[in-house]
Amino acid sequence: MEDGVYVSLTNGPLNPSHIIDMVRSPSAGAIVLFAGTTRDNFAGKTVIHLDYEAFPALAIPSLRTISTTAKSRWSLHAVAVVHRLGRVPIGEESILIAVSSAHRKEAWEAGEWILEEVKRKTEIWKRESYAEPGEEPQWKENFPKKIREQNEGRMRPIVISGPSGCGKSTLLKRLFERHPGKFGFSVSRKILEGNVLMVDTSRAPRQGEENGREYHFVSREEFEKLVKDGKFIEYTQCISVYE
Amino acid sequence: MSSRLIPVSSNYYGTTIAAVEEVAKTGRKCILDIEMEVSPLQ
Repeated sequence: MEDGVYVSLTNGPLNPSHIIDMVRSPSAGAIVLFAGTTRDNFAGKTVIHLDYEAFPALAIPSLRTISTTAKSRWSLHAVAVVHRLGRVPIGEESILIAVSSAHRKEAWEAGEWILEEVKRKTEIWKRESYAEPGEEPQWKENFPKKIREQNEGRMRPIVISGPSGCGKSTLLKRLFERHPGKFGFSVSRKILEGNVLMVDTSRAPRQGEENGREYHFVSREEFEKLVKDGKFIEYTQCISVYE
Repeated sequence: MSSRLIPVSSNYYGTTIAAVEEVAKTGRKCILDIEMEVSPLQ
């Protein structure tokens, strides 16, 4: 936590004194700790427990962004946010937020703002289960079908990189064999063959390469427009000099 | 110093975000196989 921001998701019970220690600072005049606990009732129904589920690959960066924003907005010393996942019995902490600052006012304000942002924006969802017979458990608030679908569309890619001959293809071949249906290559690695200066040898797809399977072949203008519009996740330009 | 033209060819290679999303839509995790950049030997 070199940058004064600590966020985590955990399955076990939360420890308030641990999170206070995370933000402790000799130059702070206040530490504000918020502990969100699970309540035993909702709209007249008896809640028996809550289940929290998260999408950590998105939730951790969200928690970090919220914490970093609060830290700079209120000039805080440090921020720590820990959320519990899985089943949380009634009366136990599901979230702890600790904030340290030179003066208490900033710490109070920032702590409240962080909580509201976390509830509104992070990819963490809760489900209440009720004691009343016939009452189905219910996902609360920002849960999700829509969010889940978006996340699936945004599934993060894996980058395999290394110099020629280091074994990338061997590794990938094994990966595909061991986990059929799990991984895929992006089809449209786009290429432009255009030439600058003297030589003009624009090349057609090589043997074995089919347009639209390994590569989409596009013109220089199309390619440069895509670059300008920020459509690439990666691109490179290879220049060969013939002399 | 006199200048002269030297023959050069330049190729672009790249992967679009849309291409990665296409793979994700099929329920698969997209793999980007990226060659490491090397300085050309002079």
